[in-house]
Amino acid sequence: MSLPVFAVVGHPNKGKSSIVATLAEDESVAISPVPGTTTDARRYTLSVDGEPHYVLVDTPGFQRPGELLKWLRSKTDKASERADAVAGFVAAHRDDPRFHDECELLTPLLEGAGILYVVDGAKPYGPEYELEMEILRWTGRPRMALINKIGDGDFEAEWRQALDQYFSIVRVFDALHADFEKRISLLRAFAELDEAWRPRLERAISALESERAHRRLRSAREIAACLKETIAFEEHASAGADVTPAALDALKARLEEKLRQRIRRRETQMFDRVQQIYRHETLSREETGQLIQDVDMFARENWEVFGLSRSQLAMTGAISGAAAGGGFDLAVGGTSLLLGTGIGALIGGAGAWFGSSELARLKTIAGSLGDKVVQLGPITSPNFPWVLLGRAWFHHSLVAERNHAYRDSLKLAIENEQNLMNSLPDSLHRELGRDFQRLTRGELADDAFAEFAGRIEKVLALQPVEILV
Amino acid sequence: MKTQREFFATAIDIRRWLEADTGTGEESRIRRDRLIGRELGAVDCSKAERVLAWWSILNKQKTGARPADACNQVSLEINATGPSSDGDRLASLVSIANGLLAVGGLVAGVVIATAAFAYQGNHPVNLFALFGILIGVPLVLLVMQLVLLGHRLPLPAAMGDALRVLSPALWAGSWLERRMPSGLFASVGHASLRGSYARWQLIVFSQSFAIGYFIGVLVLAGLLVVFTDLAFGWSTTLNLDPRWVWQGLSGLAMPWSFFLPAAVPDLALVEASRYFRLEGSELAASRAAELGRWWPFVLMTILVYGLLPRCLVAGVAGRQLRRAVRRLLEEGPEITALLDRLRSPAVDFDAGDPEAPVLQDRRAAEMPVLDIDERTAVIVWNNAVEAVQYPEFWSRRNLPVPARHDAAEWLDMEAMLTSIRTPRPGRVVILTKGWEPPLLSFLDFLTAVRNSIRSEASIAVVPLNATRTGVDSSDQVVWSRAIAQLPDPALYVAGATS
Repeated sequence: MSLPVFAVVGHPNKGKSSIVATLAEDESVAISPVPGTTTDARRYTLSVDGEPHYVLVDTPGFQRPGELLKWLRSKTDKASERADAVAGFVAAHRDDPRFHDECELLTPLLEGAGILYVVDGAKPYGPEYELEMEILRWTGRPRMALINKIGDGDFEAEWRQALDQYFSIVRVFDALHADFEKRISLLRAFAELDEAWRPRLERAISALESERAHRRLRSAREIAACLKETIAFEEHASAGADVTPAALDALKARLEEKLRQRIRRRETQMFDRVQQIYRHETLSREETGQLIQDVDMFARENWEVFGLSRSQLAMTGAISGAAAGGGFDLAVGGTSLLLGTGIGALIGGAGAWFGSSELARLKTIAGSLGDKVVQLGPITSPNFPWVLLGRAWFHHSLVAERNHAYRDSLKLAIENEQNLMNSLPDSLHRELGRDFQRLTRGELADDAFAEFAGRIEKVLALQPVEILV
Repeated sequence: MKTQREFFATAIDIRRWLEADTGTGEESRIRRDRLIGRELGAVDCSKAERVLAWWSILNKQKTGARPADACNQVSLEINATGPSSDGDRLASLVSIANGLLAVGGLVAGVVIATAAFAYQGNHPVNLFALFGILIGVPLVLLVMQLVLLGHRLPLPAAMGDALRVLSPALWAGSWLERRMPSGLFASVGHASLRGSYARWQLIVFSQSFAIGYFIGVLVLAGLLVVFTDLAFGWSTTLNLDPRWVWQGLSGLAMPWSFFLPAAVPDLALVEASRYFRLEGSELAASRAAELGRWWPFVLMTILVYGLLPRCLVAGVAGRQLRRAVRRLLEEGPEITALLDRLRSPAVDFDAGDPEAPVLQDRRAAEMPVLDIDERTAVIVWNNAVEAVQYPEFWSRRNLPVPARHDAAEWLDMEAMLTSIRTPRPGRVVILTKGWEPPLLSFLDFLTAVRNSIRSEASIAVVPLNATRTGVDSSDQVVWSRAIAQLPDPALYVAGATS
């Protein structure tokens, strides 16, 4: 079975490398508005467990199409000899620096690659493109045209009229903004170029879809691990034998800052790992301005958008308190007349209401030699896990849909003050609330971790960006 | 077959290694582990065996040895852990802690039993006090420990601290924590008793101490029985019928009454053993001998209600600990991720070395503004301005409409070049599509224009945007850089508008 090979060809600066970067999920593909950035053909092989499934070849753009076509026409006027004429051109000019780019882009076609001809639908059509399209027709290879869009203009109809005359398949593909589904849809269209390529491409598509699901699961595990670790964070300091209330306050402030720094570092590490999972290792997050990733995780804006409101927290606390009290009522066979449930709800609700603003509680424990050791943590704030999860969810949604051709830093402004967590389905909200309470109490053991990560995966499957923007 | 200790050491090392491995790139980890996963194939083995097999192959790869090819084979060959590894050290320390706790318990048992069996000859050893100290208190502590470790009940801080002080297992935990690298215990969930390993290890620690303690008690009691005279009695302020006491004690003796009837007190002994301190008299030798008959019951009670429960708990906890150690290789974020990497096909786009990043210069320099006179030849490249728009293009700039010369890759250049040579122009203006990048064919064309006109005549390239009103700054940069490649001092890029 032949390996499908697709050469991405076209005019310089029309987004060939962007399309390759997007389809190959490779952020190292050089992309630049400067024409001639790609000087040599470069192959990107999609392998599943080491077995190649298809190859994309990024090529330089046409530089002297007029001369090339003139040369070809001088060699033959028979349609049956056109492919040989193209081969003859490459053979004659392989060492000619004037036609280096043409030879680089034609060689994979002569080796059997299908043609993906890229144009920019945001810019007007011009007759000079017909030279390139004619050359490609001479190769006799199966070909598809991709209308990429670099900018705001819309000349798609104009392009279609021209491209339809040279290509059996014409597709619009925005290399910078195409989501995963569009990328898969494009791969399916590749199969239309040659039926013999379909089985391998179908297998590749299946592997990519499976990989996609795995990435979300792996991200969910990273986020779950981050939540589990950060909630258990503790900071300690020696307070001496006799500590005054003022000194204790100062110590608490110092420990809280250390705790926050540690949480920020761990969150950054989690963001980095999620980006690694999606092959966005060098993608930078915006560090300045009023952008979501910059707003400090402890800033008010984050707690309003990602956390629960005070009344929601009180309600959550009351429900869990009632559940605990209900256990007592059950234990005494209902003879307590639901007193346990009522008292539990009151205590839980009040605790959440009054304790919601505190990140962690300060404890004084006995140290050696009569010293007192002050401990801040683990995290007791009921809102903290929601804020961390919300930010992770938001970040994941940006990264998961991010194209590898899009090179700007990761940023998105909060334009909608709507609370993100309200958009979660009620059942998921309740289950996560219970998980967070177990985490806060230090009771989420390894054996429950998989289920917890599974619930986070359900969150990641939802789209927070549509809510916020 | 690996011993429990070796298995534990390996499990700790694997978890520690995986934690450190999170610094390795995701792609590299996927490639490395999937390669091993494929080597393991679809052999039916447990998660822990798969992880151990992975570890074995990984270590063999590091040492260059030939990798094994199935879980069943490699799971028996996991001696990859060095003798000085964290896991090995921790396993050794756990063994030492268990031993120290047992010895500590033995000493404590001897000391406490010495106090509990204290007998000066004036009053018999109070059985209630004896059982309360030697059996009751440890039994209550055992129940509390099991309840607290099983269900984290909210306790007042002071009570929690008191329990901490009373728990030899927690002393051992703290001792271990101080001797191991930071973060090691977190990996097995020790710090806050979250992991089941930590929970069962602490219970095992407790039982080591308690078993030592009861052995100490029994040994001392046996020695006292053999080498001293002991007299036991019971005393109460309550108006208690000795028959009830007898019934209660008979109930206690039920487990061994069938095979050791001599260790079951009879009613006469119970009635005879009640004493009142007010009597104040020394025990008669005959009565003392009778009260000494309690010793088989006392030893059996300590054995059955003290040592035996601890042995049972130790057995159950040991079994649970083995399972928990196994789960160290089956559960947890990094282990789950590893198993996922071993099983899931690795999807990879291999493009060799990454391309060098492109430095982008988006600064647009100032451009002279398009100007023409009667000696200017205007060339329209690739139909940058369509013929119908051509007059309007100039009239919008309040300039006279000059003659138009068309040039394009698909047209005959020679005819056009000939036409601009007569009359010889003082300046050449070339209108181009600014949104299209300058190809080498355009630079060839510029060279051809230069060669066909006077060398001192200037050539202005005017890139236009799609509305022909100016040019985008990014396009201007591209054009300026491209034109600068030609060594022509009279060639420049001009703007269509000021």
